[in-house]
Parts: sequence; C-alpha cells; structure tokens
Amino acid sequence: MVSNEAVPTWEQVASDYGRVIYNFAYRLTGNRDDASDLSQEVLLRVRRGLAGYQPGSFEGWLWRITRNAFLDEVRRKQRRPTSELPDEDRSTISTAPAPEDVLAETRLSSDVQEALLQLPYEFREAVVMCDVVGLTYQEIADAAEVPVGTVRSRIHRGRLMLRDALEGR
Amino acid sequence: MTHLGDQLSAYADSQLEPAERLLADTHLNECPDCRDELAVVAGARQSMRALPMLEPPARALRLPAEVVQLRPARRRVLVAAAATVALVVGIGVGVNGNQTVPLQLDAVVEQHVARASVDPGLNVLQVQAVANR
Repeated sequence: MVSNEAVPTWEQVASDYGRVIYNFAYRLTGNRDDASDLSQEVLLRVRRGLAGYQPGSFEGWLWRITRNAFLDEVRRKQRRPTSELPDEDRSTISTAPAPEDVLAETRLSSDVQEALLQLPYEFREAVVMCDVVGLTYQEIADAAEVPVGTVRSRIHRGRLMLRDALEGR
Repeated sequence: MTHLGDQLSAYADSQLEPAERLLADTHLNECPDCRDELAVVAGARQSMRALPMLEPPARALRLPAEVVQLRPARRRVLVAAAATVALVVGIGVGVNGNQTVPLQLDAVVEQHVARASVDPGLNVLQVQAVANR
C-alpha cells in the first residue's frame, strides 16, 4: 500500500487500489457496469490529480476523489431525463447478480447488497468505507469531509438501518 | 446512566479511545439494552464484512483508450518524425498528417524515436536506412 510520505505513481495506485475501488463502486451501485465506469473515472482523476498531490493522508485523498467521482456520476445520471426506470424494474435489474457472480455470491450476500441499496447515500457510503474498504473513522472523515463524530453516527445508524432492511424482507 | 448509542459501532470497530472503551465496558456490563444493540450492529458489521471481494473486469482498471494514447509531447514528436520519414521515403502524406501514413510506418517511427533518443546525432540518411529496411 502507498505510504503517506511518498507520491505514488499512477500504475502503483491502479494495481494496489484498483480492486478495492471497484468493490466500493459495486457495493454502492449494485451494478457491475456502473462500477466499471466509475472505477475508470476514479483512476482517470487520480492520474490527473497525482501531479498536484502533496504527501499526507493518501487514503483520505484517494477516497475523497472516489466519492466525488461517484457523486458527480449520480448527478449526471439524474440530469438524463429518460434514464429512470420504474421502481420494480430497477430493483430487479440493478440487484440481480450477473451470471458470473452467482457462484461467487451466496444468497445471503445478495440480500445484504439489496438492503445496502435501500440506505440513504451518506449512510451507505460510511458503512461501505468502513466494512468493505477497511478505512479508519478518521480516514472516512477525511474522505467525506465531515467530523469524526458524524462518521461514527453514520456508521452506527447505517448498521441499524441495514438490520431493519434485512428484517423487513 | 446514558446509553452508549453511536459509541457501540465504534466499540465494535475498535475505534474508541482507551478511556472511552473502559467506560463502555463498564456500561455494557450493566445494561442489557446496550448489549442487545451491540449485538445488532456487530451482526450488520459481520454481514458487510462477509461480502465477497469481486474481481474487477479488465476494463475497469484501464484508462479509456483516448487517454492511454501517447502523451501530447511524445505524440508531436512522432507526428513530426512520421512526416520526416514519409518525405524521405517519398510517401505522400496528406494534410491530415498521420492518418494517411501507412500502418507499417508506425514501427519504423517508433524505432526512429527510440534510436534518436539514444543517438541524438541520427541524421536523415540514417532515418532513410531504417525506413527502407
């Protein structure tokens, strides 16, 4: 992993973080194509941003870029007038695992994914950064640009909501 | 005594300061409600952490084609070199530059650039020799 004292190369970021960026994107969107597009966009921004990167909290910097790319993408899609599908269609399309995932994912993990997608964005993001990416609360605070206390609250409420969503099924 | 609330997830994640953790332990010993809530968040945490890490498709980790192409500075050198080589070997290059350069020339131009980078004194005759091979 990248140390906080050095400026990494783009190739280093792609090889060390590509997989976890993709998994972050997949858990947030529940969709492999969107996750691929988003991963590409993040790596593109990293490439542009590395020139101006000052050694410091690399995780905070990287995940701030990642979440900004995600939010820009969400905004862009919301502006597109015809992209919205009726709710029932969207739920089957966006959460049905692609054939290659069926073996890798148990039934239980697809339930968790579906429940996760019901959480409001800030909570989903906090929980995914904590449990999928493995960031500390301080790193999540740096990435989301909120105080640590807010991160603590989002993770806790997010997990309670996740339980409710799983039980509501 | 107030309940632990948000602190319970931080407790499960080992993100409490040592002093906070001691207080939380004391409270948990006495409070079944907080123990129940801790079990709930620990369960959700476990479900999240049990999600499989998926392998990204190759395209997810590649820059889009238009970006991976040659960097601008290098590209200019190549276009200039292509024009030079084309003139030397008598291939007509249209105004729209490298589009009309035959594909085989790319390898030659690459060789030229590679040579020129180690031997800046490479002259036009040498380029021609390379192009004629």
